[in-house]
Amino acid sequence: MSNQVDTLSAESPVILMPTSIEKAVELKSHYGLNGEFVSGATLLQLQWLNGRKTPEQIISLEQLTELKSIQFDQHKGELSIGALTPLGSYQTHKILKEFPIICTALKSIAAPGIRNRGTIGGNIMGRVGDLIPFLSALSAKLVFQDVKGVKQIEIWDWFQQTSNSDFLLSHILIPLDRDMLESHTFYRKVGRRETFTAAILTVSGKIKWDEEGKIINAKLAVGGGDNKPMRLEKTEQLIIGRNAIHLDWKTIFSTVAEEFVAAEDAFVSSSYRKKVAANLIVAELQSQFAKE
Amino acid sequence: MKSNIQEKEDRVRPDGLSKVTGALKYLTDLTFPNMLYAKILRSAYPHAKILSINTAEAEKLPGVASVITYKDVPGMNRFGIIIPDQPVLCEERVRTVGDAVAAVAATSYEIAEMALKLIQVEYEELPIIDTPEKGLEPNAIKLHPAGNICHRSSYINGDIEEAFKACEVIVEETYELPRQLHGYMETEGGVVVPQEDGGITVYAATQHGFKDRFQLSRILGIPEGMIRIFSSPMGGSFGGKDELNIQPYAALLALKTNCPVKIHNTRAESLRASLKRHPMKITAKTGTDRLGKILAHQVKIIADKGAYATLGPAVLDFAVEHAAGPYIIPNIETGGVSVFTNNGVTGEFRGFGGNQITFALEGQLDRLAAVLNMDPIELRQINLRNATDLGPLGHRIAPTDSAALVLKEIQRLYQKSNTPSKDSNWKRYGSGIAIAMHGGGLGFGRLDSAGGRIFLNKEGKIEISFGFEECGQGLLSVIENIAIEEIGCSAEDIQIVIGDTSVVPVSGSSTASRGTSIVWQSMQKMKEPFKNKLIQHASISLSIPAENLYLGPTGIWELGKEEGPCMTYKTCAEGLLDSTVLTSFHFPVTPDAVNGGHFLYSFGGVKVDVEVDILSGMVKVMSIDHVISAGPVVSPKGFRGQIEGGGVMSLGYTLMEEVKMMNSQYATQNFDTYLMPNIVDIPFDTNVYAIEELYEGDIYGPRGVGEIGTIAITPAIIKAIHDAIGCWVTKLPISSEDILEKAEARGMLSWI
Repeated sequence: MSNQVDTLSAESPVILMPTSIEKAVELKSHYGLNGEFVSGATLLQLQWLNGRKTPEQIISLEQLTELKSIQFDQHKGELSIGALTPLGSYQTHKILKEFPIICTALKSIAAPGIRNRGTIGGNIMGRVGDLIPFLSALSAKLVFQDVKGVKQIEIWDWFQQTSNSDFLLSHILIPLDRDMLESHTFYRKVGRRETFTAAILTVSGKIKWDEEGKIINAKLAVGGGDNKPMRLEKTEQLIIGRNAIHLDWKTIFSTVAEEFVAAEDAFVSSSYRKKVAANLIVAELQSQFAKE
Repeated sequence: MKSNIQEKEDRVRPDGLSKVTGALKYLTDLTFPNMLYAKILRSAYPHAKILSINTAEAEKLPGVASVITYKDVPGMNRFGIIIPDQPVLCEERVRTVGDAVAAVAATSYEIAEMALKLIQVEYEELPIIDTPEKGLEPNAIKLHPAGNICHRSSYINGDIEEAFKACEVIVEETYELPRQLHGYMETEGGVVVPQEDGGITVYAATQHGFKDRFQLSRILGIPEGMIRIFSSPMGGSFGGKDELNIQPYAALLALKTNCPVKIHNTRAESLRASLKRHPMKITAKTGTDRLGKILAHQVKIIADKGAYATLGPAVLDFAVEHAAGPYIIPNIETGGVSVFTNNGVTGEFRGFGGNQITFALEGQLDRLAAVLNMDPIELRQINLRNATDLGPLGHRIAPTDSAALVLKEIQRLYQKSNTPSKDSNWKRYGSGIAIAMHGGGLGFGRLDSAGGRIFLNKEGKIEISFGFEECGQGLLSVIENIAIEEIGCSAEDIQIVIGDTSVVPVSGSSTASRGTSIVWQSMQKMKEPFKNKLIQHASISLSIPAENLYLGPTGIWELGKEEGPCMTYKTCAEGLLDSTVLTSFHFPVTPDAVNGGHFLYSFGGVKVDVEVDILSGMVKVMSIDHVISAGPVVSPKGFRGQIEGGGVMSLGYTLMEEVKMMNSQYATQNFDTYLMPNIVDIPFDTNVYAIEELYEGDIYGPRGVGEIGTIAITPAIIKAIHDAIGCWVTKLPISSEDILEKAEARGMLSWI
């Protein structure tokens, strides 16, 4: 009987541990849909537990140390983050610590134990992570690799395409202005408790203005939890080109609330999410421009 | 974190090291040779007829040892501490999604799980009753033969109709409270091992080993003497493991397969099958004269019982009893009804109905203070009980001035409130207070046996036994500290034995804030006879006058001789034939025949500061001060742990915890959507102040503090929110959506 019992136990996947990016993408190309890239496995673990099919071959990225590096190119004004960088690196990595807004975003994800294993790349590639709208607001680019070569794509464009998981995300490139005086970047997460909870919503934005206070660029994004990440393009258009002192707060509020396609579940209504997103964006803008 | 409680000895709790290192074995960690693993098939519907159950396919699955249904229950197919109305395995009807229909024992959990999927149950769905109100409708389908009312309870004194006519101010409000999950770390589980004599040994957490033994004997149809229960230690309970949970299934399968059988609920299984706190809807109408003296108080309670009774009737009685709390109200009418529904079963939960009713009572006081434009403390003072006043059911209670002492201390803390004086742009700050009175013990008319045993065992240890369980509350520390204090020995001389029905005396349940009280009272009764036995023996053996001997560390000492004991406990044990002292008594009870009325009460007060974010409606508690009057503190760290922990449990209850049900199905299945506070939600500024003095002549000693820290915090938070934004919250958990709407309505956001 014992032999038969063994055949009944849950099938265990094979875990492959390539040591180079080339080998990793080769394995993926070989196994196709039967193989899956896995980094920290914090989100996947949860999904497997909730019924997502476990792949026959797990291609563990753990040994790809080259994807854990972080560099800041002063000349280009570009931060490059390796996809396997743990979410918790904001506490330890010298370069990341210099960008408080990125640290704030990373710190809002999950809990310390999970941030030690979960990776920045995994948060993006899971397609539901809090970083997607945030990085969209920052106009980040993703660097992918497959057996044919390397390609770069804006995160927002990537998100709108159907996912192609044959590509391995290797780096995230974030343009960061050196002159922070004329721009404001923000990220806020609202959850049902202070920490370690799915977001009710997140709002992110980057606003740039000139010396006269005219807004010359604005990227606003919402998402988090079950909300599909989205850019608030109507709201962006509403404020770009305006002088900050002429912003119409009521219209901004109603435009955000109208534009945000917010999720609804047993715990939080869609209309609440819309209102809070709009409140937070108005408050962020007011913190820069409102003359009391 | 501040406290006025002095750490006298700074002892480490007896189970401290093993818990911190993880070395401690819980009963769910046990394994035995040839052990099988079991899973329970729960109902697919909240309410349905069972047309047929076919287990043939499941039985054929390799690795499956046994599949049981109601046909396999040899004794009474029911359980329930007060009213045994819950089927162990349902026969022809299911009343909740937690109902068990079949169970499987197999060589692994995976196989047992697969076997569950092969059991074919044909159901015919029935209309559901998903609210108590629907259960009360005249044409509602009957969930039980006697109908849908599980229990009614009331208390009337004076004439409220007349009294309301005389009132200057009347406030009326309906308070709604949610279904809370105990959320213990260790889910229900354990192992049942069959014995050669046809009996069983049960290793499964419970708050009352003897009660489990009784209930299992009824189900299995075997004498209690053939059942041995190991009930301790457990990884938390809070009332949730008081009732039977997995024990009947593991026991039935163990007897049928003649193998040890283990069941350990996953979190999702636990959430589906476990008890919860009663959701209640409480309507209160309260009136005062011009000066704030309460003349009339009318309270209507409707509780969602879920499908079965368990301890629900007693919870409702408790809520009715505490409707007036520590206030003297000349005209009162309290009526409660507990109604069966197809929702998950509700039952015993730390606070036991006191949380719900005190939320309503203190809410009324705060609303009255607002209408009267009066200081909330002053209003409470005017109406507060005096030391020798009767209890809340007009019954005699142990005289106590604790209510006034607690209120005075809360007043002092309130006056030096540290709320930021200036609100920031999007934050509003406020402070609130509340007080509470909480009965300990089971109450009048309930069998409330207490007792303990002490003797010198063969190894020369002073063995102290109680029929209690250690569920994390710190009972072992309490026993150790009281024993050291009363006997004079050292911690090393003591061996504590609890949680095994074959060796412990009857002490009653580890519930109702009674443990500390009973340990102390037992020791008062046992210490002199025990000391005398040892001293007499030493006196005769060593020819030293008994009056010159006393018990100390490691042995019996002679007055004036400090170099060491004249007889060690080990030597004493070798010569002394019988050192056993047993005590058995009834928990102190009121002499007046009032159903459920308590005699010993503890008192608590809370002051909190909150921050309300008006952009999101989120509320954050910034500080909590607890003031507790429950007699002398026995175990300082344990005391603070109970009060702080109790406060956090109710902070969660107030701010976020709700086992939401939709159409009698759980909308939340795990801790990803059932949110409990974590460390970031808890204010570091949490302080516990104890008032240790007992009222003159009080002979009852320290009271248990398992519950009192959970009661007053909810109304204090609600008052603080009112202080911050000027709105009353009536429904828990607080909805940030509701707060946001209130902030909008008050024009706090200029763009809306």
